[in-house]
Amino acid sequence: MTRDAPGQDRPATGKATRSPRRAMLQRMARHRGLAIGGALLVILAATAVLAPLVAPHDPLAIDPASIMARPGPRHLLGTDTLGRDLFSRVVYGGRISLLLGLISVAVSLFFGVLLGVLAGYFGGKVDEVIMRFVDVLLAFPGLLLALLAVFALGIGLRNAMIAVGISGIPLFARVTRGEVLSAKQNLYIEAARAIGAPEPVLIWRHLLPNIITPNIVLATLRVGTAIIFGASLSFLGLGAQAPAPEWGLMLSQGRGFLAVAWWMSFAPGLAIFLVVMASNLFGDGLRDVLDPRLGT
Amino acid sequence: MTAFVIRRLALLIPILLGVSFLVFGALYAVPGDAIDSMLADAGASAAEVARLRREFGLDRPFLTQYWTFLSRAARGDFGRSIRLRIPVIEAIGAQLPATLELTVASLVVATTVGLSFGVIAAVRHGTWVDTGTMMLSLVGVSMPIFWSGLLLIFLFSLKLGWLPAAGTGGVRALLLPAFTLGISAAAIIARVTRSSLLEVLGQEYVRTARAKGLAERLVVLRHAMRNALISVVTIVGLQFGALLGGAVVVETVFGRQGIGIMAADAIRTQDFPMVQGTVMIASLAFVVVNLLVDLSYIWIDPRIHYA
Repeated sequence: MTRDAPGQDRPATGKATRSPRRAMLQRMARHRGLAIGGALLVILAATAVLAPLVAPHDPLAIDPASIMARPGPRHLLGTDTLGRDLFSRVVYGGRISLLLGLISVAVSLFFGVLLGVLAGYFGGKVDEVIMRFVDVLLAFPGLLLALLAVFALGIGLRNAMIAVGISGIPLFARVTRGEVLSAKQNLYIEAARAIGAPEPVLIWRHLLPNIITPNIVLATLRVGTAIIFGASLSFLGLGAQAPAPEWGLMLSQGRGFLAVAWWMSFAPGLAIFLVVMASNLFGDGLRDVLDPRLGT
Repeated sequence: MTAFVIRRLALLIPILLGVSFLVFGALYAVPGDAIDSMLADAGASAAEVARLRREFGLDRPFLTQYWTFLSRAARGDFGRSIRLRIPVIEAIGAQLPATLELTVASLVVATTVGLSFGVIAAVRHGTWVDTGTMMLSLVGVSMPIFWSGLLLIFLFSLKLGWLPAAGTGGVRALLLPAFTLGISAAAIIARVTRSSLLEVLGQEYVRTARAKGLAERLVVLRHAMRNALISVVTIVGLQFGALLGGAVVVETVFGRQGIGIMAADAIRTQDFPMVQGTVMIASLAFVVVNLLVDLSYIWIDPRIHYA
């Protein structure tokens, strides 16, 4: 199933044969990228969740006495044009970005899997209609589908999350459809159908568990892109609005002051970079271990 | 071949119809309509609003409105921009060259850098060069372009003073935006090049080429690369879409002209006709490029026949 090193799965002498689940967990633990990405993600998520404990200042508190202060002991990452502590804003911003990543990927996953299952399972006209719709969604280049969705839904953070989610639907629909088409051929599906299992049960109990792995891998890989798309929308003024401590918005506020206060753009950018890199590392690792066919 | 091209062109029609339907439908879903945004500041009376709505056909059923939009769009008529007060197609015509210049330049950067790094990583598979190149590629895909753009401006414009930080026109003004936009595409192209080349390098005919004493450079470039190229060209075509979308951000960062920044402005100011026009033209460009990619397979791999 996976690209094992030679002999990796050989049962150790004198020990009972490892269960496949345990073998997989061990492979996951041994994968360096997966471990580093996972650890980074846990640290970043914990920082975001525990923001009130980690952040030394209120992220929205204005301090006229320390406007655009350089990074130093009092303000670890400096302050912005209103004297707000950037470290605290970056820490609180993690909540928004991680939430954006999770919610938008959940939207893509739910609707993508739904469309993919319907298309793959029922085939024929249903498949034709759904897949042409997916092709149309794929004809919008990159960020443009999310831009159009934001326009239809209205500017704002919540709508930006949904818009980014919509832009990911075609990817999940395609992968799911392919998986369903191949899983449908399996004997156990035939058997379940033969004993008269109703269609929803057949799909839910027998089909879904078999197509979920590539979707989990794709979802993990998609989190990074979703966070970048969401931050891009805020950077363009179409997502989170001031005074929210959103990383993309903070970058756009800082870019006019690059010559005099570079730290305003540096800190939030670094935060986005770290989160996205961590989720890419984790996603790549997960793909290597669980589903190498998806890999490049 | 001609039949294939015609069939492939015919397939574009339903896709573009679908795109136009979504673009029109999305704008139809917006609370309020073009008249509201036109008269937002004018303080027009209810009678005036109703008259204008009739005049623009906004009181007619959805499908009738869509049909009017479609038949005009097919002739390149997207109406007049509410904000700029000129025909949308004229505004796009004026700005499109700057966006195409940026997208093509970044595609050149992405392909050159991505291919070179991918080939080097594959040839030096398993060494520190491979690991280092793939780590660089991970950094490349993980950098948000608005941040890498600002870092490049900070370093090359503000600190070193080598290149202009903003503006359109001339190669010097194009360098930083093209690199900014090309970085993440380069990273993806490098990954795909590496993995498809690695797959090909393990094949029998490559071993034969080596066995007959061909220089390694020739084995890689002339024999292996040609077969690895299909996946690379596919990903380059798909990246063109990402670059077109990314142009919205890069044009904003560098204060360049272009249809990307025009689209973002149009969304902020609720300039309906402009949003429709820019999104339609960008999608058209993307599907045409993907068609060209499909056609290029024939040239790359003569074994592929399109009857």
